[in-house]
Amino acid sequence: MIKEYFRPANVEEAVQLLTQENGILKPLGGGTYLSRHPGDAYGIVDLQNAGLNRIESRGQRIVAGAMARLSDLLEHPDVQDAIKEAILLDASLNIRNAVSLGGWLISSDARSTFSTVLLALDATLVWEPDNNRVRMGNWLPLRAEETPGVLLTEVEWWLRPRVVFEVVARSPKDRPTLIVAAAQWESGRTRIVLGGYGAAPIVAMDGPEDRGADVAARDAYYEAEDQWATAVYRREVASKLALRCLDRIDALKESEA
Amino acid sequence: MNVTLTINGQDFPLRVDANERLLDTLRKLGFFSIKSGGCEHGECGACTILFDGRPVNSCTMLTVQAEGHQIRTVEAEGEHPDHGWKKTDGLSVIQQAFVDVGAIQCGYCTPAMVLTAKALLDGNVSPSEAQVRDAFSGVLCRCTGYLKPVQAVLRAAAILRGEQVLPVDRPIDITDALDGAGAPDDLGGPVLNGKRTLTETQILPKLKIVDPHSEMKTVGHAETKVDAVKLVQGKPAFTADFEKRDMLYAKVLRSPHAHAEIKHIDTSRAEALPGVVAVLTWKDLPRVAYSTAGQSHPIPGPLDSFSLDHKVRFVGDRVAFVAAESPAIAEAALDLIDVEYEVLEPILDPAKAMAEGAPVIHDEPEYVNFDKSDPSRNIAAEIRIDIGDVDKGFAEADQIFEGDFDVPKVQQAHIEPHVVLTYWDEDDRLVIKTSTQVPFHVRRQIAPVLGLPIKRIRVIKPRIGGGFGGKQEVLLEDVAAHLTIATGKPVLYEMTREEEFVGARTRHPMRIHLKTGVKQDGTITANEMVALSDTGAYGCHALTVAGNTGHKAMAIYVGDGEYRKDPNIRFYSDVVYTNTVPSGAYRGYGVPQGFWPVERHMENIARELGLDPIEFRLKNALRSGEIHPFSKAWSEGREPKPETIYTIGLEDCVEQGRMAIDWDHKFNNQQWHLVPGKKHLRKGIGVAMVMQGTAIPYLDMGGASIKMNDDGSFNLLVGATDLGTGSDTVLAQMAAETLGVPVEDIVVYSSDTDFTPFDKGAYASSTTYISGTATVKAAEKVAERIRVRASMMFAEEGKAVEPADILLENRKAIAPSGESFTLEEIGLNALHQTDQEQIMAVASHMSPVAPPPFAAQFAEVTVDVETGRVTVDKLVMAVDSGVIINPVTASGQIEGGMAQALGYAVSEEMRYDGDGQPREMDFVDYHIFRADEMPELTTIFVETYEPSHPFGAKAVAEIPLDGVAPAVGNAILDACGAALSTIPAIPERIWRNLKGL
Repeated sequence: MIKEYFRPANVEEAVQLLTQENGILKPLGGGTYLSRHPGDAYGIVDLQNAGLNRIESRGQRIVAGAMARLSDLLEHPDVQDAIKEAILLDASLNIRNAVSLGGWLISSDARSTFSTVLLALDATLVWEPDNNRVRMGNWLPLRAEETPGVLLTEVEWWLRPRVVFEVVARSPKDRPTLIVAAAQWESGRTRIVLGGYGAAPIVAMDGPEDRGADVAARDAYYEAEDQWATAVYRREVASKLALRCLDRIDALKESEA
Repeated sequence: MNVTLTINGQDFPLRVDANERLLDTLRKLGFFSIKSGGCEHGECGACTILFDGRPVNSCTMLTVQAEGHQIRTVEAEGEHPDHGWKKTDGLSVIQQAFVDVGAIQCGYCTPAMVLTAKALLDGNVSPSEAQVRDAFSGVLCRCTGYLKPVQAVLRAAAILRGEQVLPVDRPIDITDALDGAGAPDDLGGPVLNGKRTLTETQILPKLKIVDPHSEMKTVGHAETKVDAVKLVQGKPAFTADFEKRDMLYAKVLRSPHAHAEIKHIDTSRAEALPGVVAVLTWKDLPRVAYSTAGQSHPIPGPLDSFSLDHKVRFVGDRVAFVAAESPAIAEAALDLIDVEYEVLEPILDPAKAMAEGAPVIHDEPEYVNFDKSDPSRNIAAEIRIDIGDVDKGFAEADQIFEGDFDVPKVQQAHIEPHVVLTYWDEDDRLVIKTSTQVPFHVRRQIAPVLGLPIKRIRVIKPRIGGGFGGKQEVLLEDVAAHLTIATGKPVLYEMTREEEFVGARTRHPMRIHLKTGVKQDGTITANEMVALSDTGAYGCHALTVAGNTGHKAMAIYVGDGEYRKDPNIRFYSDVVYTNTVPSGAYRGYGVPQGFWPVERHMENIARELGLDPIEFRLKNALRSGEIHPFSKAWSEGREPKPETIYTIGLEDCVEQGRMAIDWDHKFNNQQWHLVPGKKHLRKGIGVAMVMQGTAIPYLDMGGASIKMNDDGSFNLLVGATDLGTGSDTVLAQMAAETLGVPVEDIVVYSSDTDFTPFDKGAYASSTTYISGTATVKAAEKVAERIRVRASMMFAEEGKAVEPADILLENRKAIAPSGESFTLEEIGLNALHQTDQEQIMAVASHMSPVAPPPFAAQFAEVTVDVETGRVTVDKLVMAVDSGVIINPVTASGQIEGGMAQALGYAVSEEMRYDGDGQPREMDFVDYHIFRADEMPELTTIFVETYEPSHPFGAKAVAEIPLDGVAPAVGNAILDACGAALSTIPAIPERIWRNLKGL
């Protein structure tokens, strides 16, 4: 149950509050999940005034503050179309208007298309204190056990790679039971990321070229069975969709040529 | 904490707890337009507010977060244009558009939609249809199918741009209406920058009118819903909007086990929690066995439920009730109740329920059997119906076709949760204000449970935020009532969304075997269905739902030639208990379960025999003048009586539907099935033919009372319950037509067991037919008294006019000479001047027949053959519902019904693990269709004139649930060859079928 409420005016104040020794304060993004969080008494640090909502391009990367709303990302001209499509799949308008980027990443599971696509783009998360930069792929598996800091301040990802995704769901806007996202850099570097199963999306392949993507996808979800789909289905279809994603990237390259 | 909220431009200094939700604060402040869907993660959007101009959910936001921001609610939009001497600016453009196009059904989500539309149009006055649909993506609606709300926004946008829009209720040219090649392009829709979208042209459905020269003034017209202005303003009209001084809040402790005996229960810690006023367990309450199924007396099912019991029979079953000063305290008290369970082996597979040695779910000695229920074998009901000589029919067949089919457990998912408020009135009578479809059944059925006579209970039904059968149940009234009896205080009990999934009711899942004998020419010689129905832990509606499965789905195909005269049909069903949440009534009431197998099976037979699937069906389908085959054999456990069906517009429905979906161009056209540039996609088209019922003959009864006022207006009091369907409006239309007044002169009130006549309630697609006929009967009596009085008044002026020669029209009683009295003059004369009398009448109606509506449902899909993912692109439904009283409300029923049925077809199901723990407990996992993912919907009405109704009407509410799933299933088969036997058509199911796994 929430007992105390703080609204710091900047990141420094927020970090100061969140690093207090008793450790009973939690950061509050949009509030979609924390506002209904039962359990022991704790306080919250509302980050709405902390200046964490900027979105800007820096060189080949785009940097978004952790308090940028999903709707802000949709409206930003530099954010890739695939990211926008993924957000539209993940969240309704009401949710997009309330949820922060940081809050979404921290609370979403493997059935988030947005998180899956960000992982495909090899996103990096910046944590305070100490400006601790952690790759999303390293953070996700340990998300529940340990955090790289008390406050997620920024998320940044590559702008240039071509990125596409495919999903399988019961209806066009249902949460997918299988997501395959592929990102390819000009160098040929190719990342295949799978979502739809487990606590977080996973990297199936990150290599200098795209060969073997289907096998990597199949192997990565070889035992991906839960109450929503069997492992046989997920691995076989993931393999197909990985190839389909690469075909789409090839088509993109051709259309740009 | 001290905070100041800025709401609708006004500052509200407040002291709130840090954890208080903005939703709760705003409702405490009286902003009742903000509704709660009981969800935890902002899935439904009923609580939408504008936050700095953007729609957000107030249920997932803390009040303290909102300080420094601008909050806007629907209370700041328009209002009724006339408050006596005070005139207002009226409704906003958006609100008026919602009213005009019939975008409001139950109205529970309407304020959220209006706000969302405002945010959209404030930023973009020329939105595309896709943008409107995206704007609605955060607001779930279970009634409308979203079509008319989208139309409302597009219409409002056109008005805001200064464009002319056409009136909604324009006369329909029958030639245009029958022209399937192109939709008539000006049926009331707005012009959008010179462009039109299909959605904009469909405010009125296509209508083949039975009498194009009809001079009726209100019947057949798109009259505005009588409750629309109230609902679009978000007025406090729903149960949770009413509060009482010293009101307590109830919560229910629910079982974590699927099957267990409560060995020990200790409530002392909960009772000691400050703010807790009462904790009740099974030890505190009288042990009265009853049925929660809201049905007429005698209940056609076993009495197997108790308010609280020492045994729990599903995860979510009731263990204890708590009343406390706040919901949070009541919730906290639940955690302080110590329960020791002896966990018993559960039955989760209905196929094993009747096995020898299976655990017995109902071993209580108080169990009261009905008909063939046998709790020792876990049987809640058993049906054995043989019509004709089925075995002879099979012997005469050239081929026998058999198949097994499964349909899932699904939830009604009305956006307003179950909610009830109880209190003692000043006469020590218990008042139950409840969101129910069956107020009179609630009063009768709950009386013995509470130890009160019926006369000391008053049930009031306010507006209902959707029901779909889920509120044809005496589900929660006893919880609050017991706590009011225990505490003497008013008690409000509102279920959460999770409770709706674990503790309410569902559609019965079934496993169905079909066997059909067919001649080589396609003549059906015999048809057999054996259905295993799973009623869950309690037998509510067990017999009647299963009976309806056969009664409708197995009645439509009788065979041809000699078999048509004497069809051979068998329907057997066992309805068994399992340790899952109880099944119950759900719109369609067993019929959708029957038509999935029947229509998939018919498709398989037609394809196997190389017959055209439409011709094969029509060859064997019922025809006008034939006897409903089941009417000779079964009537919900009562004596059956043969019934001839006089109006069957099925062939016409097929013709209209096939034109609208362009069947002849697409079916068997291999090129059309391909998607250029997408080799993994295949398109398909499918059809299903269905029938439903219109009330229950010799059983359903409704009453109506009409009273004339001094100004020539009328009060219409009905026990019928409008749960968003628009029934109050169509009843008013029929009364108005009979009395010669506009609908605005009919003031409708429903329902209150103290004041309104009895009505069995809103179910079985009966209100327009049964309650409507009662209304017309009462109106005719009143009209007769008006004519007599007018004749007297003419006589006072020395003019001899026979009452029978007087016409009631345009608020006047008109003599053949053209001379007239206004109804106001007649009302004043009757009440104040000469031989004073109250002109009023009461009437009721019970029907000896139940004329079925018929429909042809078409679907177009695209299937990804590599993943099994199916996208439904288009649904077309052509319906024979008799004469359409109100084309806008009726088409709203079809659109919303198709949307609900779409979920049944492709996405909705409730599943349980090996311990009986449910997979679905919210709208995240139990996905219902959103506005931004709906296929194109087309509704066509093919009118017939049903002679047993005063205006020729039949039912419309349930039939749209019946055909979508099989039409989609048949379209999937057509697209890719996947012959599904189980719904929903989830991707893996299709993929496995294609792989032969």
